Amino acid sequence: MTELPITPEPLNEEERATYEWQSWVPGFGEPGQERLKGASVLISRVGGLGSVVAYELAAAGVGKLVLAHAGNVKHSDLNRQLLMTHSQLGKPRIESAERRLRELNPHIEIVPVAENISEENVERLVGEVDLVVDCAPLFEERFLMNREAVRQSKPMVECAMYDLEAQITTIIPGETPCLSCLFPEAPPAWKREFPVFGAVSGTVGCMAAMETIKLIAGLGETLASKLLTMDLRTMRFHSHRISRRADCAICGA
Amino acid sequence: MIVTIQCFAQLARSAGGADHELNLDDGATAQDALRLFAENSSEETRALLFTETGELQPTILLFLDEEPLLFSEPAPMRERSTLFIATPIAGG
Ligand SMILES: [Zn+2]
Repeated sequence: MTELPITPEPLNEEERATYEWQSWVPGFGEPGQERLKGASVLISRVGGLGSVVAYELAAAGVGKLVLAHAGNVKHSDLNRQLLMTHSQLGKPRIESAERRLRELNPHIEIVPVAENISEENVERLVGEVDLVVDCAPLFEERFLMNREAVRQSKPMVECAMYDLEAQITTIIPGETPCLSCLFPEAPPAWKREFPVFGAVSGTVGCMAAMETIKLIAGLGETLASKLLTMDLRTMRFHSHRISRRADCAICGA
Repeated sequence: MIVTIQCFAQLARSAGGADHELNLDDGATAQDALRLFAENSSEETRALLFTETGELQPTILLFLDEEPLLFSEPAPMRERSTLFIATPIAGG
């Protein structure tokens, strides 16, 4: 695995105590924790998937989280968007997300952005971080982040769910297929609202957080050039090999 | 030979379930299997798989026993092979 250009940040005593149990993981240790502290991640959005990704990365001590999500908390968010709380109904989602994360870990930097990914902000937001976790519910936003991540040579953990099914892959520009290699155009049948249990988005959200930690720390094997699909109705998991498209409009030579 | 078509996400919902067994002639390809599956499916399912002009929808991913498959390159199926067909998902 190519090592990401991250400058490790030394830990203080409180951080050593906080992250002690994960520092026992072979191949991670204090050097891995210092890399997490020195790393920055963009998560968009922080709904069913992104809430869990952000929560796990905050707990693990990733130094800077840039979160992008527009709109106010609604009742129908609460079955899965675990950073949104009942007391925040009607208030901005991004404020609820930031508050919950600060309660969990007051020592990391959180950059709340009350916008969804758009043509206007994508270059700047991707430019602020070392890597991206794509948790958007619309292909338009996913394609924008993919284009920008490829252009800026930043890895992107790509995860999505529908009903009791989910998929995840890790995109490393120049090495693996990008999102447009898999889907060269926006699928006609996709709708913004979809059937979802929080436990399904949470499952793949945790996997995406683990992929992110592995990429930052150089730990284990990632899902580079592999698409992991899962069906939680039957508990069937498949790891499919995927390849680049030579004629890809985004990453093709 | 008996092979399995395994549908993912919206396709599974439209086809009434993930797994569909097909009985194919020896020497049949994954492409034959896909066309036969589509022929036996509802109009809605067929539209998820093929365009009006009969081409595979460009956003469909095919895997034959977990290896990527291009619809343009005929691939022989074996007894008990699984052809996995994924429609794209973006749920966040
Ligand atoms: Zn590509």
